[in-house]
This record gives sequence, C-alpha cells and structure tokens, in this order.
Amino acid sequence: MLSDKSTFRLLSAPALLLLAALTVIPILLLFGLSLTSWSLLVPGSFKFSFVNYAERMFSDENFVHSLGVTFYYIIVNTLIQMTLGFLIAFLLFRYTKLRFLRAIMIIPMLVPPAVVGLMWKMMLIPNLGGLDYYLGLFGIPAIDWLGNPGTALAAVTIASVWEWTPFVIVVMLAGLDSLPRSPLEAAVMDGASTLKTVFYVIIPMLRPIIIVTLLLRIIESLAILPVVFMMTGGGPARATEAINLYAYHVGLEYLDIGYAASILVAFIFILLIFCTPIILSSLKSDSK
Amino acid sequence: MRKTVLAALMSFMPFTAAHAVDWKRYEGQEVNMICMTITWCVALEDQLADFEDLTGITVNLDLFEESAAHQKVRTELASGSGAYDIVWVQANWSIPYAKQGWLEPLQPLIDNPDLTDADLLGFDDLMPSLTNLMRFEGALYGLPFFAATIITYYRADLLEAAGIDPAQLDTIEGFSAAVKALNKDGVAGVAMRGHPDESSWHQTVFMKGLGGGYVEDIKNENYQPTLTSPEAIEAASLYADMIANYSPDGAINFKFSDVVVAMQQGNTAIIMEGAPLGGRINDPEKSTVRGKLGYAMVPQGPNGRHPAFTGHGVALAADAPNQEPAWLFLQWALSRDLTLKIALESNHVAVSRNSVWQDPTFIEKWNLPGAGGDFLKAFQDSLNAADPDYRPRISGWGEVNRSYGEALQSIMLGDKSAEEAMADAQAKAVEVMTRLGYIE
Repeated sequence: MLSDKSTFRLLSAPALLLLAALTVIPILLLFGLSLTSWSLLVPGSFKFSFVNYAERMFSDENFVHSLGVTFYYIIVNTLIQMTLGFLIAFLLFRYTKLRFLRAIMIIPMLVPPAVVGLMWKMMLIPNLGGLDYYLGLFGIPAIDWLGNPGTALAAVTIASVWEWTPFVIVVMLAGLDSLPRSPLEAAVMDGASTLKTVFYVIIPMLRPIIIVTLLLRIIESLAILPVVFMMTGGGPARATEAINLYAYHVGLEYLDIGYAASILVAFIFILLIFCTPIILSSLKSDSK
Repeated sequence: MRKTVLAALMSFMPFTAAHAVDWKRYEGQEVNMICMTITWCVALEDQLADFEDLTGITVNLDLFEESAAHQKVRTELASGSGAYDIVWVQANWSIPYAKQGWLEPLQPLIDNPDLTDADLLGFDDLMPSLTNLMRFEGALYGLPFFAATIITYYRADLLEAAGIDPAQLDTIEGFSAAVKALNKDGVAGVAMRGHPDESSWHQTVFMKGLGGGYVEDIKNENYQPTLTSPEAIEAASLYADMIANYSPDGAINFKFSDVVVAMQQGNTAIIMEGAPLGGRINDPEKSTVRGKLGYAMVPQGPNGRHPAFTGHGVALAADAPNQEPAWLFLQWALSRDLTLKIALESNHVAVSRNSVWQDPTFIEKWNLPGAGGDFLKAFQDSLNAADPDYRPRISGWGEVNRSYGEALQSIMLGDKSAEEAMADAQAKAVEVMTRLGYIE
C-alpha cells in the first residue's frame, strides 16, 4: 500500500511529464539555441557563443526599438481594453434592457485575427477604404493611416481594442452578475454615489476576476502578431514591429536562428516581468 | 483519350533521337513543387493535367505570395525536409542557395540521354543572360522561366497637355523635372515602389545612374558597403523626394501591385514598373489607360543606364526524393511549345526563350497598344542592357536590402536627412557583411 504522498506523486507524474515535454523542454532548447551564433547562411556557425546577449542585442537599434513597441502594446492596448471593457460591462449591468447588445459585441472576438488585420487594412486604405469616406462627410481629409508611424500604431491599437474589448466585457459582466447583492444594496442604503459604489464596493469585490482578465490580456496583447502582420507587416519604418515580429523576421527571413532565439528568450523574460507581480498578488488574495 | 496521349507523346519524342526518353518510366509517382504566384507558375497550374496524361506523374504545385513563398522555400531547403522536389528560385538567391549545397547541379541530368530530351529542353534557346544567373562556380543550378526588368510607362496624353516631350524622360534629370511638372490637378507625377522590401528594385536605377553603388566592387567580390558616397546620398534624396512629394497617397508603402493599380486608375502620369506587368497595366477590363500609354527604357544618368534585372527560375532541391520525375517535368514545363502556349493564353510575357521572343504569334499578342514608344522593344532593349549584378547577389542582401529600404523610408517620412539615414544604412550593412564574413 502506497502512502498518500507517494500516490499523489505517482498519479501526478504523467501530467508533469507531459507538461515538461510540452513547455519546459522547448524553452530550455530555445535557451540553448540562443547561446549559439547559428545562422543558416553561414556554414559551420553552430557554435557556443555568448555574443547574442553580450554584444548584439544591446547594440541592435531595431531590437531596442521593438522593445519599446512591445511595452506600448502591453500597456496601452491592455489599459484601453480593460477600461473600456469594464465601463461597457458596468453599463450593461446597470441597464439590463441593453443586454441584447452583448450577443452583437461578441462577434469581433469570433473573427480570426488574420481576418481582423486584413479587414482593418482594407478599411484604412486612403481614399478607397471605408473609414476615409465617413471622415470625409465631416470634412476631415483622407489620412494615410498605415503610411505614417504614429497613425499606424494607433490603427493597430484600434483594431486590437475592437477585437478584444468584448472579451473583457463578457468576463466582467459575468463577474458583476455573480456579485452578492447585499453589499451593493447596503451601499445604496448608506447613500453612496455610483462612483463611490464602483470604486469602494464593486472593484474590490471583482478583484480576482479583474486580475485574471488583466493577466490574460497582457499575455494576449503580445499575441497581436497576426493583426500587425496583415495590417502593416511591422512598418512603416518598424513603427509597429513588436519583439516577437522582429524575432520572426530575424529567424525566418534572415535565417539568423541563434539571434532570433535570444530575442525570444528576452520576450519570455519580459512577459514574466509583467505577469509575475500579478500572479503573486492573485495568490496572496487567494490565501487570505 | 488514348489518341491524345499518343499524339502528345509523339510530339515530344523526336524520332531521330538515338536514346528515347521513356516518359512513362515514373508512372504513378508524385512530384512536389513550390512557387510564388508569378504569371508563369499560375498559368502552369492549368497545364499540369497534360503532363499527367503524358507521363502518369502527378505534380502538386503549391503557390504562395512572394514573401511567404520565399520564406517557405528557405526553411524547407535549410531543414532538408524533402517536402519539395522543385523550388522556385529568384536569381538573387541562386548563389546563396547553391553555396549552401541546397540545390542539385543540373548538368549531370542534362548529360544523361535516358532522362533528357535535348531537343525538348532546347537549352541553347534559353536566354544566356538568364541561365547565367542560375550558375554558381560554373555549375548550373536552375532553369530560368522569367526575365524581369523595369521600364518607364508614361501617359502620352498628359505629357502632351503639359508640353513635355517624352524624350525628356530619357535622362534622370529630365525624368524628375517631368515628374514635378506633371504633379498637379489631382494627378500624381509618379508612382514607384516605396515599401522597404521593394524600393531598391527601382532606386538602383537612380543610384547607379548617378554613379553610386551598394558595395565597392561587385565584380571583384569586394563587398565593402558604399552607401554614404555623395552619389548614393544624392540618389536616395532624389528618390525619397519623388515618393514623398510627387506620388499618390500611401506611396511610401507601395509594392508593385499598388503601383500597377495607381496607373490603371488613371490618376498617375508616369510609373516605373516591371515590364512583365505590361499586360496587367493594360488590362482591358481593369485599366482606364489602355491605349494612352507610352513605353520607354528607364532613364540614364551621367554614369549610364541601369535597367533592373533579375530572373526567376526553377531548381531541384538537393534532397529531393523524386528528382528524376521532377527533372522530366522541368524539361516539359520549360519546353518551347509550352512556353509559347502559356505566353499566348495567359498574362505571362517575360518569357525566357529567344525563339518565343521572335515568334510572330507572340509579337502579335504582346505588342501592347500604345501612344508612344514600343512596348516589346523597350522590354527587349532593357533586357539586353541589363547587368546581372544589378544588386549584390549574396546571402546577406535580404537584410541589407531591408535596412536600406527602411532608411529610404525614413527620409520620405522626414524623420531623417538623407545623410543621417544613409549613415545608418551603411552601419547596418557593414555589420551584416562582417557578420556573414563578406568583409573583415
């Protein structure tokens, strides 16, 4: 007869092995590759070298630039989606007659990202696309949205907000619906304003859900690659090229495998920097 | 059915051949081919059934858009997956691929009378300038199917209205003056490619015409970048100015298809674009300018005329599992008869065979309507004047090309002066060339 502990270990072993095979081992391999100068264009370059981390990465302007774009996507896209999503969810929570809108709002989420990118790209073509026509009705001249670094970045943000805000709405609304009614009623009885109710009652009670949504959105905000790929291909002048798209160019276009691996290691590292505090704080609130 | 097969077989087997190729030898086998969506490959797709009737070999042709095809070819070749027997190779890449040992030398196959029907292959009929693009250290690694160059297309009516003599477009100075004069009343002076991946294809005309170059000396393999020479800076600034100030909206991201559309729609006066796109630019259904265009070679500068030049070819992968049936297919696909058939039935004009260029039916179909200049003459003269080393054909070119294109784009955007942008491009080019071992 096995002890409880051994049984636990034995039964969880297959799952752990699978997890290792699917996640840990590839990441270790990636890290291994990142310590080589392997380029498919240079015969015999599969050699151990620390050059990617020691020299190339930090003297590479394109890499540093793509870091900035990455932070922009993480912070700006996520913040807009979270704020807008929460506001709309709260409206739907307060005004139940508007609930039918929920079904319509889910549609963007169901569209494959590559299609989202293509759709927005077509809408934003100067003079021919739909958006310029409607702006034109208000006397706003045609804008070459995807042709200028600033507007291209904004256009990508708009597309990503359009696609993913509904996700936040759906999750937040489900969270709002599951809140116990009595604290809300108590707040109303005590004469708290709507704003105060939101900040001091609803948000604290929703905290676990907000944290999970935030975490998912941060991770997903970097999965914006297909949208960017279709809309701008990372341009103009690399304005919309986040670190993962840069790694794609380096690895699959220039066949510079070792360096691409080291860029991806940096990518994973950045995700960890953003996600660890959030995960820790969710653990803390669980243990309370 | 059987009769057609027999007739097809006979037409491809000259009775005089001492060794006849047994076309049914690989019956039942499959050949996998990858190509970009280029006229010839697209048209080839409709012909595959005939080859299957002839040989019993099934050809699976995968078509991808250019950059996707490019990446897929490279990754499949690099990993030695054997997924494709026949790969599309743009001439700039034939040398780097061959150097890596990714391609199969073709001469042994050509010399094997059991596998090659010399009359059908008609090797000497293929344009030598193109076959030479497919050679590395003397050995042949591919067969060309496409001859690419660029010419000037101009709206004869608009030039006349503005009192500009088309002959003025023959020099870089006259060309840019005409562009500026014609840019008015909702008509853009010029459209050319502004996208960083593609702009050098046009820009090199100006860069070399004005006396600049990408590297010290291509012919002698001195690859020291020279992007900060006064001529290179002047050319960059000229090109960026034309795109930023005298082109349609969005021109800084134009790829070839955008340039074609800009001309088709009738609000662009001059374009410089691929001669093989002449058919599309004059498309009877999509183009509003059919019959109004004049054709000329690209402008010359103090340092001569430098029409763009490259070729597209098909090669056998070194690890191809079905090399022999694939070789049978290549001979058949590139044969004179099929080349002519495709040129007559489709939008493919950039043929790689001298005999087809001279064929009366070809000339009749492809002598595009015009209002000045002769399309086929401008096309052929450009091919004859073209230099195989129009741009460096080395493995690092992709990366240098992109950073050069991005530097041009930053001038167009007004982010950087031409001097600053070229200094950045130079630094990047030096870094790449050093890393890949082309310079010390």
